[in-house]
Amino acid sequence: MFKKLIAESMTKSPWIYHVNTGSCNGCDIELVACLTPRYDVERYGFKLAGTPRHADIVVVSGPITSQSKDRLIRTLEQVPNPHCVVTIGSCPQSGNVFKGSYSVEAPLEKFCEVDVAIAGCTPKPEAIIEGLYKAAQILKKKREAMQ
Amino acid sequence: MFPFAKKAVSNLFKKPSTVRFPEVESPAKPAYRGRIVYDAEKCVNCGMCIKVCSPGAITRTVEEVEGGEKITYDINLTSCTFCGTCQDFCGTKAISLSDDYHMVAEDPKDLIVSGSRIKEKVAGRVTLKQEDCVYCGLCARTCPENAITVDRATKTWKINYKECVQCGQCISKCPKKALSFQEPKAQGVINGGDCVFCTLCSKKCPVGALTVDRAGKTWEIDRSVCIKCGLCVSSCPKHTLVMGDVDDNTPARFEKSAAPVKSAPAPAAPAKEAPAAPAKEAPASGNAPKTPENALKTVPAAPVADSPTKAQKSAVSVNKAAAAAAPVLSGLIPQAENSWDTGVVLGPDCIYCGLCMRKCPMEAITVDRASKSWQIDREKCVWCGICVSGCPKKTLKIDALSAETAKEAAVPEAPAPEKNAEAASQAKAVPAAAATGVVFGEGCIYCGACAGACPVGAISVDGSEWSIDRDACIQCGACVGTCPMGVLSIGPLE
Repeated sequence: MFKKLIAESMTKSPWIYHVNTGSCNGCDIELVACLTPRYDVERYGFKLAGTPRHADIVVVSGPITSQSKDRLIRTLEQVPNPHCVVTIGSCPQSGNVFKGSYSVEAPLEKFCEVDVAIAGCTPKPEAIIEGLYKAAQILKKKREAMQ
Repeated sequence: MFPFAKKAVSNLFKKPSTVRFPEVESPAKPAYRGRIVYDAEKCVNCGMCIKVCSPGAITRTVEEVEGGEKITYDINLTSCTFCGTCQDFCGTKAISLSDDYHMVAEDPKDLIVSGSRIKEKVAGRVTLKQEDCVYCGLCARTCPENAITVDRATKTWKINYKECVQCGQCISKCPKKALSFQEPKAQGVINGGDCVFCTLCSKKCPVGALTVDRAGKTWEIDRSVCIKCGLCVSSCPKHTLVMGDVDDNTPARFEKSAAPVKSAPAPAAPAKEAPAAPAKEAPASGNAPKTPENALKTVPAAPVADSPTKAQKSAVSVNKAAAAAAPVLSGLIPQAENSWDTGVVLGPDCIYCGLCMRKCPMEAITVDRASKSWQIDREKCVWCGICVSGCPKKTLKIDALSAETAKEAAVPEAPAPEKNAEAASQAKAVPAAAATGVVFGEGCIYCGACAGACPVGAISVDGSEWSIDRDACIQCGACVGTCPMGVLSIGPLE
């Protein structure tokens, strides 16, 4: 009975963990803007988690620099299943203007499965909310599949 | 304290400032740069957007389909920086950035904006109507592929058809309407008019399309046989053959009239002097060996009492006289008697190295080092200038023959002492030549540059050994000029 209640609650409140892999800070600011009262993504239960071990959704920004690559992989390994990976902006998807650089390891698909891609440079907070909502839907499906 | 309380109380009665986004649509602010909209029908495939896109988000694929080319543009929004440069540069406004920010997808492929259209094959290619062009360079600046080069100073307009994508932007930009799409004309060899009928082209032609008649002064090409290989163009010593547009009206035959030879440096001079010259020259011919039968001109070696320059010039006159004595040569040269107005003239610095003899494509020059004689067969000579450019002493030149003789007649004595002094030094130098040669000094780094420069292959550099074949050396001085260390010189041998 409790299990069902916990599962129900978890779908209602997906916690997000944000990894900056060498982003220019544009996408990070927009993600933070989503959490502010202006866009208030907590209305839908999204909450920034302090550690990847508590996270349901991992939000990745930045073009994955060589320095951050190992740390990113370590972080993703710690996220319990089921989880979703969301990319914000062009950088994690393609490397954006940094593609071809010796110190950029994008795209993120090389290291893990990306569930939702939010395009834009940077995306509007509305677009991020949309992406997170989509990720929550996918997460729900994944959780149902696991049970 | 009071203002804050006032604010707090007023806020109590206000609506929350939260943007209630998913429930209520929140439109983007004006001039927001969102999803790219691509209108394939407007696109002219100039590729400017691809060029200006800094993250390289735009790709183009061209497929050959029936009736033209299918051109597809893919704009990858997951790679785009939404800078809007493509929109600014698009000449036809085919690309624009909308205010749609809902760019969220589970599959990144859904974030590729794509558009394609079939572009009908444009008949012809961009062609310039030269007489209308003012060389403003607008077309070159407009061209997205940088296929056009315009030089205002030299009034040249060039297009690289390999680069041209036939977008037609240059045609619409041209203020003088000098550009248009035109069916390309067939390519073929054109005789530019400086032809000296040397027959080198016909010798090089692998298919025998060229017929050159030296005696009749005609050049003819059989365009049905010509394979446009360009061998004749590259072999032409006068650079008069060019590959160009030809049509049915392009003459396949080139003839030279009996008018003064075009290539003569002073065309007016021979025309004036020609009638008077033979009479004056006739007595002078006594000094030189008379060999009119084979029309050979011999320059005797320097130690002869007369100066070499003078001898040479008189020899020219012999030739002239020979040419005038038509009956002897009529079988050989049926042209007008002043047909050899121009020719290779030997200066006083000749060292009889024989390079000109080796280089002459017509084998017209005979040089004998032993007897120090330089002969030229004027009938064979085509004034191609290869000997002139190859002369290490720069003593050969192509000049008007009668003008030379006329000069001698007009200025009888003034430059003579000088020439004589030169000749005297030459006369001294030449006998001493047996004892002179390339002197090898200290400081050689054995780089081998001299061996590479030697026109006769007399020098060999092997490791740290430098050797010279004194018999082969012609003392042209090429090695001396090439030596980076300056250790070589020409001087008396010990």
